Amino acid sequence: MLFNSIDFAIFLPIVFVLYWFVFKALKSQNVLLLVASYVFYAWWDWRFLGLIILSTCIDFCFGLAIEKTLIKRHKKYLVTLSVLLNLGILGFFKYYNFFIENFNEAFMLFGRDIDLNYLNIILPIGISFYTFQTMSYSIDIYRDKIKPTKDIIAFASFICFFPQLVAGPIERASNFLPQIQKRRIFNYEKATDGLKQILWGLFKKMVIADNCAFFVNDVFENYGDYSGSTLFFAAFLFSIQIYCDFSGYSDIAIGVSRLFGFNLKKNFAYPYFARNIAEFWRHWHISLTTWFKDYFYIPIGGSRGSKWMQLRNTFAIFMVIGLWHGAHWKFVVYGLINALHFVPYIIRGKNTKYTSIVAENRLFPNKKELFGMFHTFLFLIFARIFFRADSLTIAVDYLKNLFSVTLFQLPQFSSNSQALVLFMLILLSFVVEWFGRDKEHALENIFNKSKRSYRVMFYYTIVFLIFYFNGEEQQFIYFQF
Amino acid sequence: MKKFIKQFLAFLIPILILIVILEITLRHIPNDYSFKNSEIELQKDDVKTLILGSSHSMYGMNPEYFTQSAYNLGHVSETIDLDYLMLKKYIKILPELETVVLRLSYTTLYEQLGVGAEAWRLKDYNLYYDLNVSNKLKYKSEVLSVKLKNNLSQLKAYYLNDEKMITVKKSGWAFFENEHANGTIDDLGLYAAKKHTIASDALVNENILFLDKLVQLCDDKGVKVVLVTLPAYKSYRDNLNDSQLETIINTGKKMNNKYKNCTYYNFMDDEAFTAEDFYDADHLNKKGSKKFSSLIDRLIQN
Repeated sequence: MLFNSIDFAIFLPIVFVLYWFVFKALKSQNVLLLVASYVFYAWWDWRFLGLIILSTCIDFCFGLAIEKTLIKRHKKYLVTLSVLLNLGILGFFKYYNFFIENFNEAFMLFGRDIDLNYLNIILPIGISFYTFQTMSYSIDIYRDKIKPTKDIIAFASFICFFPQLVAGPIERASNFLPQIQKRRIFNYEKATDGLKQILWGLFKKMVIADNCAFFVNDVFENYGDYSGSTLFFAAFLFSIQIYCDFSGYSDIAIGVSRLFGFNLKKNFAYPYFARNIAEFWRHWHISLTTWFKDYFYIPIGGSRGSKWMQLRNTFAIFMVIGLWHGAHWKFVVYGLINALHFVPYIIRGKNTKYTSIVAENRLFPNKKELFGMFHTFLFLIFARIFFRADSLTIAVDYLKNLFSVTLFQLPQFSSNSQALVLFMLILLSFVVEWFGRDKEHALENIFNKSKRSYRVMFYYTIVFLIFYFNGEEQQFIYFQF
Repeated sequence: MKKFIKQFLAFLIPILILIVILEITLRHIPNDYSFKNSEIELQKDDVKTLILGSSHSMYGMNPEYFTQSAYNLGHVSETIDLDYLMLKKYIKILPELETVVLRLSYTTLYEQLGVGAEAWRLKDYNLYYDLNVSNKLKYKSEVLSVKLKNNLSQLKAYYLNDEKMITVKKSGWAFFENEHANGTIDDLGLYAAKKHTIASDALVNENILFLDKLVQLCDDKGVKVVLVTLPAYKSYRDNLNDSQLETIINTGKKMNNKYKNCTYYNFMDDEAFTAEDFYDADHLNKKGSKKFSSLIDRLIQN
């Protein structure tokens, strides 16, 4: 079920009413959430329900077993087994064919044709997200950070909570499980704020991201037919698309959760206002980057040790982040390009330079901040060509065509008026986000000090823009991961 | 909680009322689908030849030039799955039906309306032909399936500018006002060929099944099927993918050999059709459709 579908517009109020008016007890509310989440997931393909239930059972049992075991060495075996099982499932569905392809090619290099067979595997939606969520649970128990739950319903609800099941934010048991196990009380401010966040998420997804997709898909599919300048603008639009698509999804997920009395982790903190690449990665897909930081980067040494160790660890984390996105070398290269851009900041010790919000207590950024934002965004536009292109070869070809003499021609779009409207809408969304950059989400405080009627008019305007300009319905980009 | 529900409904109700008003006014606008549905009902006792298919059929075959009474039930972007559903509905109410003429175009086996950018057209079959072509709620409503921007233009055109919304003749045939499209026929051919070349063959088997079912249905009712690949201009033909084209032609030949009631004709490179006969590189204009309709009629008569 897509958040931007009619099905979800019917599903959500039904679950909401049942949750607050019919199933008022904690246990029954959790059962309702679990059933609703399975229905939500099965809407795509009910066959994958078995897999998510299996993952849930594995980590529920391992959690209890790790806690029960008194010998440290045995705890270690158990957590290793749990991680291997989770990665095994993920690896089979996501990376099996990738490894087979690379094995075959590697043997070909040595003149041996082993020709291992590919499997016709369909990637279960959201597998990377919920697998990481279940893994962190077992690891945190092993690390004595949390106690395991004996309530399977609460645990299963934590794993497959429908707002964040298929594309995050990737929740930690330490944050979410206590909320599931505690009685929720309806909070008016929280619920209205949730609705505002949903509205903004829908705007970003349906108006900006889906309209960008119209141009981006065409140009990336026929990149040989377009001038360098058009290729540049398509790459720019893809950067906007992926942000509005994914952060739009996160906004809706967080907003919906708030309607049910939950607080999810913030997943995006206005990353395109970042002044350097290090700040960008602290503000982009936060739940994933912090996951890798806690469970991968720090265990391998993190920022401790010499500069060389730091660099090695940085390259390692970016490689796995790249690979997390999919079984393709283009994602590895995308990760490595980002790591390379990090190098000067690590060497000069400036990777943690910016910790406060941009232009704090000021309306506009200063020249230095503006330059930093511009250069970071420009870098991302080019790096993301590797992310969007169908293969590494196509990405290189795309760049070659981009850096041709036609780079200085006027860009061509299939519809100039549509492109102009889209640029205006992008500008509008960035202005709104700029004014909300110190808040949890862009609409949190907007028009809050104005008359109620002005505020309501503003929300109606957003609703109108969604209906008026919504693009062709596209699946959320991150569903494929 | 009460305050929340009250305020939320107060915000939502005006939107819902507007949606309902918009839906009603949009459904009142006559369109090609509602027009053809009512016209074929009126002509049902006479129709001996039924033309089905996409824009290639809709613009390319004019029932006026058929000896026997014919009706053109084709629609822009119609795909083979919908051809089958349309036939299934109408074959029951056409007592005199003898022949079904169906296009087998370059894209016929490679696409379905529900998959792709034109999926919004599904609502027309749901709403105006009363066919259950999709269970998605979205495609059971004008407002939900089409952008507000386009819906408002539609309302303005009909209610304010008094524009004609029906583009087809009583026979179901439609024609282009201009003899030729803007742009050179070479560019148009290249563009259309690229657009129609589909990388994935995921729908081919399913579409062949629809074609099979369609011919079998006709066979059961004693109706002949004339399967035709319409003429296309050189600039279109030369830019097609060989394997996709071969699949289409081979399927046509297989159907011809498999079913006694089915005959396949491939006119794609018929030299009798020159640039003068084409609106663009893959659609016939008035002149071309006259020529082609007479040709098909002769084949049916023989």
